[in-house]
Amino acid sequence: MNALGRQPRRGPGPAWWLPLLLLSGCVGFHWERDTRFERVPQELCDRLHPGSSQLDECLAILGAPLWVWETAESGAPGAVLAYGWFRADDRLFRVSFPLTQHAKGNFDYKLVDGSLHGLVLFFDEQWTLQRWRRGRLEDITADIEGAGRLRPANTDKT
Amino acid sequence: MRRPSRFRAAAWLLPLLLAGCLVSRDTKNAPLDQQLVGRLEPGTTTARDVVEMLGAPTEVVQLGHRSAYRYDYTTTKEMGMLAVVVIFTNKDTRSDRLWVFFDENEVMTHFGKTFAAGDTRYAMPWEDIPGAEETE
Repeated sequence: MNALGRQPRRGPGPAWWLPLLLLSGCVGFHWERDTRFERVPQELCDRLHPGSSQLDECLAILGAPLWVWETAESGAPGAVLAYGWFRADDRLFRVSFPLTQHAKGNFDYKLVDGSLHGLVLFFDEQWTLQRWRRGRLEDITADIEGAGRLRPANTDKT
Repeated sequence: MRRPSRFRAAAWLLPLLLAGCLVSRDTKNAPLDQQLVGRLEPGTTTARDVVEMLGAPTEVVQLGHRSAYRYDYTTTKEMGMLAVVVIFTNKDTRSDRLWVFFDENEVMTHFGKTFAAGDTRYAMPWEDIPGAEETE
């Protein structure tokens, strides 16, 4: 009973969301989507003819690549053109908590649906297309010297 | 007449939940001039001409005795919403790119161009960005 003789109101007050606020630095749900560059359609790849397609023809079909590297496959000098695209749709639930004065723990549950895919064209010294490969750029360029340092670090999601 | 406390709580809660909205735009390098790119002529344009027209390249790649110059202009647009424990963001990155290939005499032999920076879009995570097909 208050001073006015009324019964205090019961029921859900604003306090129910207080723990949520207090924990806002420790728990979180992130939904992040990330789109980088344009996917090369498969039908454009079908217009590439290893053994006959020349560099100018490939550039006219596909546009400018993201990267160009020098190669020396089997001792023969050549060049590699790489096109890439990235799509991510990540949902991340994070809980972090202090362990000691100088350390903190994290528990992440992450559903990653994205990685850097691409198309890689291999040319000989006369700029004739030798072959092309499509798939995860990390796999395709694993054997190419110099590709590692140019691979975009910002695709590494933490 | 007093409003129910539930409504008062909601009035508190709403601004807290919608405390953060994010709209950002980021660019890298200078825009490429399509008219200048249209003046490139394989067999005639030299590396010096290209640099005089477009400035210093972003990257120079040595290809044996030949070389290639890269010019690019990248834009990123990001939109999001930051609630108390929830963060939603959607980011779109596209670029204008130009690769110019030179022979051993620094005469341009080929060039490839892509102009896509203008297609960069703002969107929330539940919105699909046009042209951003799913990866395979």
